[in-house]
This record gives sequence, C-alpha cells and structure tokens, in this order.
Amino acid sequence: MKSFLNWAGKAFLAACFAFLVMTGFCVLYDNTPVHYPNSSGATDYTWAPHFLYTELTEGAGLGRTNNEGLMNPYDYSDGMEIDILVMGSSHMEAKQVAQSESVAGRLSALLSGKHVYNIGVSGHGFTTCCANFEAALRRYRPSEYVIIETSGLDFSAESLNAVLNGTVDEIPDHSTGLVGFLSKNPFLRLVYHQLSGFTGGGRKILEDEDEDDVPVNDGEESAFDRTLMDRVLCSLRESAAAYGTKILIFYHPTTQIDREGELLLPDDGAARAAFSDLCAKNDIIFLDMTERFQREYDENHLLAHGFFNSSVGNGHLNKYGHEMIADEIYKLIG
Amino acid sequence: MSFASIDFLIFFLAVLLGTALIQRVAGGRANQAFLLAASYFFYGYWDWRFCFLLLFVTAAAYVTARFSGKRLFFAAGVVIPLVVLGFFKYFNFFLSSFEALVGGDIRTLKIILPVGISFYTFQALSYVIDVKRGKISPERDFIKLALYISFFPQLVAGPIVKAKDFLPQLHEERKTTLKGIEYGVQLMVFGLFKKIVLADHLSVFVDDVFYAPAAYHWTTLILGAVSYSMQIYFDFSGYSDIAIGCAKCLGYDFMPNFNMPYISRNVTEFWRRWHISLSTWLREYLYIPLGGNRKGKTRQYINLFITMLLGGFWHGASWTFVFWGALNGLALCVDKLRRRDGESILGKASGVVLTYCFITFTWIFFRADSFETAWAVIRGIFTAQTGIVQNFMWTYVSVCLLVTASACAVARAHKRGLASTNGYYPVVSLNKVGGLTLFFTVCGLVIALAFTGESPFVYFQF
Repeated sequence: MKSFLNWAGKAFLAACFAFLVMTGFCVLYDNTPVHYPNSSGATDYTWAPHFLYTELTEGAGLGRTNNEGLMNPYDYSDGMEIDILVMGSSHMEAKQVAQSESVAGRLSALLSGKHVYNIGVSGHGFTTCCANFEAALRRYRPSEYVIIETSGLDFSAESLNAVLNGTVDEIPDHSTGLVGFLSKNPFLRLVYHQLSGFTGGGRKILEDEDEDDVPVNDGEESAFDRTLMDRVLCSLRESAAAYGTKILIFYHPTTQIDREGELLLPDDGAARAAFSDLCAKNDIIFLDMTERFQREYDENHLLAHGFFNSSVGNGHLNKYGHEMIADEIYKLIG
Repeated sequence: MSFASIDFLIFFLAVLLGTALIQRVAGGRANQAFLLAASYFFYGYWDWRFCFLLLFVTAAAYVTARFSGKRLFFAAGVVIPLVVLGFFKYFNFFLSSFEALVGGDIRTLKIILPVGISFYTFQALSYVIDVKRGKISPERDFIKLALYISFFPQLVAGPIVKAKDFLPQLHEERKTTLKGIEYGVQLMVFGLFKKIVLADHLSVFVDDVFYAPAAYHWTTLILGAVSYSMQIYFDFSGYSDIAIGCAKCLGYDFMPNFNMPYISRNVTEFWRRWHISLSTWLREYLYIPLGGNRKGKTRQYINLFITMLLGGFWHGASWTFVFWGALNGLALCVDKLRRRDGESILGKASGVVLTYCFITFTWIFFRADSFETAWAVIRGIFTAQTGIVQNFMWTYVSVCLLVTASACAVARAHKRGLASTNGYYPVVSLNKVGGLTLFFTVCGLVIALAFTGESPFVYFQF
C-alpha cells in the first residue's frame, strides 16, 4: 500500500509537469480564444479581447484579437469612422492565415486610407449575418459598404423565415462557469476537440459552420424560396439605406478535384442566377467567385481552399482564396 | 474494433484487469479460456458471423494436425485454410480476370472479406506444417490452439506468429507483471503515435494524390509517393508495435515485425527488415519447400521470384499487388547476382538511397487502385507534369522524425560496436518522476496531434 501511494504521488507530480509542458506546446500549436458575449448584437459572440492566438491544425495563423475580440489589427473605439464593414463566417475570421492576408487585410492594403473593419466570426453563416445585420450597422455605421460572405446558396425556407421573424438560433458564448474556466487552457480545449472528433466520427474542418451554407447541386432550380429570399434581401437593403451604406454579397463556392484532375464546382447555376437577380432587384452588388476560381485553377493551378497541412482544396479559404476575393471586390468598389 | 479507438481502450483495460484477476484466482488455463473468449468478442465486434469461420479454420487445423502422419489429413490441413482464403479473398478476382480474358458477362458473388483472414489462415497453416515437420507436437488442448490462432493482438493484421514460437508460451506459466505492462504500454503508445499521428495525417495527402494524379505537379507526385512510403511504414509498424505491446502486457512475447527497413542497403536486406513475420513465414513455408538455394542458382532465382510473386498476391486480389511482388522478386534476383564485397561508406549510403527509391517506386503499384492510376503517377513524374503544388507538412515532419530516429540508432550501433543497426525503443522507467513525465507528455502529444477522421489500418484490407 505504501509503495502504491508513493508511486501515485510520483504519477501525480509527473502528470502536473506533463500538463504544463503540453499547455506550453498548445500555446504554439493551437491556441484558440474563448467565446465571450457580445452585448452590441453585431455578432452572436466575440473572442477574448487582446488574445494572442495560434493555429497550426489547419493552415498556419498567428495573430491577436483587438479590444473587441475581433480579428483586426487595430482597436475599435466608439464613434470611430468605419468605411467598409466585413461580415461572415470562419472564412472571413481567417484564423488560418496572417491577418494581413485575409480579405479584410488585403482590402485595407488595396484601399489605402480607408478603414476596413472585420467582424467575421466562426459559425456566422449568411443567415446569422442577416440576423445581426441591423445591430452591426447600428454599432459600426459603415459609410460606404457592408460586405457579407457566403459559401453556399442553399437556404431552407425555415432558415429564411427565421431571419425574417428574428428567430435565428444564437451561437452561445462559454466564457463563464466550469466550461469557460477549462476552455481557457489550450491543451484542455484541444483535448476536448480531439475527443469530440474521435467519438463523433471525425473533426469537422469547418466546425460551427452554418448548415445552410452547404452548396447545392440542384442544376435546374434555385435552392431557396425566391419570395422569402427577396424579403430578406429587401430588409437588408432598407436597413442599409437607413444608414446610408451599400451592400455587397460575395459567394465563394467550395470546390473539389475530380479523378481526371479537373476542378469540380457546384452545379448551382440556377441558384446563382436567381440570387444575382434578386440582389440586382434590391440594389445589392453580388459577386460570384465561381469563374475566378475556375480560371485560377486552369491557368495557375491555384485552389482557393485548403492548406499545406490539410486535404488539398478542402477546408477554409487559403491566402490565394482571400487574395482572389479581395482582388475581385476591389475591382467592384475600388 | 480498431486499436486506434476508444472502444478498444475500454476493451483492453477490461481484458487486462480480467486476466490479472483470473491468473491469480483461477490459474493459467482459465486465463487462456478468458483470453480466447475476449479474442472472439474482439473479432465478433466487426461481424459475429465470421467467428464461425475462425472456429472452422481452427477446428480443421486441430483435427488434421493430430492425424498429420496420414497424407490425406495433412493435405486437408493445408488445403482447407487455402480454400477458405481463396474463396473469400480471391474468388471474385479469378472470376473477373477470367471474364476479362474470355469476354462475356459472368456474375460475381457478393463476398465480404473477413478481417484478418490472410493472417489467421497462415497461422493455421504454420501449425499444421510445423506438426508435420515434427517441430512441435500436436496440441491436445483445443483452447490453447484456438487461442494461438485467434489471440486478439495479432488476429486481424499480424504479426504472423508461428506455432512453434507461440504454442510453447501457452504451456509456460505466463503472468501479467508490472514490468511487462511498463514495457508493453510504452510500446503501445509509440505505436499509436506512429499510427494516429503520423500515418493518419499522411493518409489525407496520399489519398488526394492517388485519387487524381493528373491534377498534381510532378514534384507533388514524388512527395505523394514518399508520403505513402512513410504512411505504410508508420501505419503497419505502428499496428505491430501496439500488437506486440498488448501481448507483452498480457504476458506473451511476439517477434518484432519491423527493424528500420528504410536504412536497408539493398532489397535483400529490406526484406529482412520489413514485415519480418511474413518474410520469415514465406521463407520457411514456401521458399525452402520450393527448393530454396539448394538446387542451383537458376532454380534459386526462380524460387525467389515465385515466393515474392505469391507474397504480392497474398496482399490483395489485384494484379497491381502481383506486379508489386514481381518487381520485388526481380530486384531480389538482381541483388543476388551482384557482388558485394568491401563497400565504402559512400557505396553504403548510395545503396540506402537507391534501395529507398526503388522500394518507393514499387509502393506506387501497391497503393494505386489500378495500373492506370499507377501509370498516371509515374507518367506525371517522368514527364514533369504541371499542376497543383502541395508541400504537405506532415510528410516533412515524418521524414525528419524517421531520419532522426535512424541516425540515433546508427550512432548507437556504432558506439556499441554492433555489426548491424537495430531499431530500439527508448523505454523509460515508470517508477521515476522523470520517466513518468516523459510518458505522460508523449501520451498528451498523441491525443493533441492525433488525426480524428476515418482512417483504418492499411493492412486491415489484407
């Protein structure tokens, strides 16, 4: 018994040392901040403010959140003049690339002298962005454009109705309680993700992504109710008009490589055409990245998604994808 | 139930606890019965119906070996496992090959390949042949023989344990000891690191490249082939480490299955270091009975070639595996023709590099799902194809780790004045804070870095 207790003491001490070592390792390997509540409602949550984050599980990102816990190189202060506001999901959050390489970062460089503010946060698919649109305008009052990202054009009537009724599910924060305390340790947080991956049949690359943003292969018909979508876009337009700003929605399709090495794009021509028509009707600029992605692949063998440590062409936007999108946006608004 | 799953972790802990208790309370034979039940549970977890097949193969070996003095029984003992293997693994292959040859539309059967069939049928064969050769006496205790054939650590993907190596252990007083668990658990963690951290991450890139080779730049295709050479090594040697570690925890010893194969200076040496249990099985039960090197040089080359050809075919019912075996058979013959005296350091180093390049080239056929895919990879490389450039991080990590580990082993062998370099594991004492800290840290790394998507062991398909 005595020898067992002796060994248990050593094991406990060793576990503490190992925990410290692994925490240090995870600070460099995968250190994600915690969700904090956002009282402004511009996003469902924000990350911890002034947090130095690292990401090596997909791509390689190193950066610091600003005072609002958002991925911007500068702090935001009340009344600050914002020219362009970027809204979107984890693609716009762009934790996998350097902040200067994200769409917002590149637009800032291209539109020198203008303030581009990025409020892209994981899980904020198109419908969540629409739900938060009014609050975002109220908070930041962008003088020129609001840019909204979407990686899919497949929206259920239920999700569009939720936008119109103000009943879109909110993404919870988890900065308090035991979960909040434990998830502040990068090793424990990573272990939680890994174990979820093991028990759930694999870690999702685009975790928290809005289910509505899955591209559809419908071919013939648009993948949403046109009347409902028109009402959603109309409400966006009215909000934007009230704040004297314009809207740009860009769509970046997910791509695959087929067995012959050709780029496979979603067969969603009808959905894109319908969405484009509705945008035009509501004075919204619609940017479709499909052709640009195809051209970059055909001419330069470049893919917009995927990284040097993940599946080829799958996952989040990489630095080329961000560059292509920023370039096309610049052509439209620059 | 894969070794790299939480299900297996729970299962193994339960078996370890159970065996430790039974050994102390009820003794060896009850423990063997318990391990046998656990092994059948482990196998039945995939598909319980195949437990009957396993039982049938075992019963056939048990009966035929007891009367192996009679030619008919011995022939049955050899033929029955081969027929079982042939039916489940090769029937549709022969049928579709025949159809391709003569034309027509022959219906294939929907046959599910039972996991591990290639391994346990070979073990049953080795038992019958060893009895016939008089190396061991027929096993009277059915539980012992059944445990030998179905022992769960090696049941589904080896190592192929020979009867004369394992059955005697079942007649000894074997017990689960703290020393055995200390060594076995560390070996299992090393194996898990190789499998779920390195091999599984590599599989992502390898699958991409071999799915659409026409899409990639020639340098990426080379990197894809290198990645596969790393993946298959880490995958299979990782599996073997877990199997050997499991057995060690339960009180049994398996032979090592890999010994740093990529430092081999020629193909002959490679096959002494790669999948050792299969190589020695093929040598003892195929190459030597064919005549080995006892019937002249020409016959030796033919025997070598046939052995490797069949070895390739054993891996899978596809002509790409046969071709892979043929390439290795030819290389072994060429290697036998070479004079090898007084190689300089440069000669040895170039031998290692050339052998690695050749083996990696042959892996293209091993991995590709068809000759078209293999040819697309090779053509892309040799025509300097343009396409997607992907410098996959895990390939570089794996190569760095392998080179570092190999360099350490070579330096260690040199320091100790050993004639050949052998792989070893730096097993630490789990009774000291330093050793425990290192062990827990490696466990933490395995969890933190593990690939959590679907990626079965490569050798499960065989």
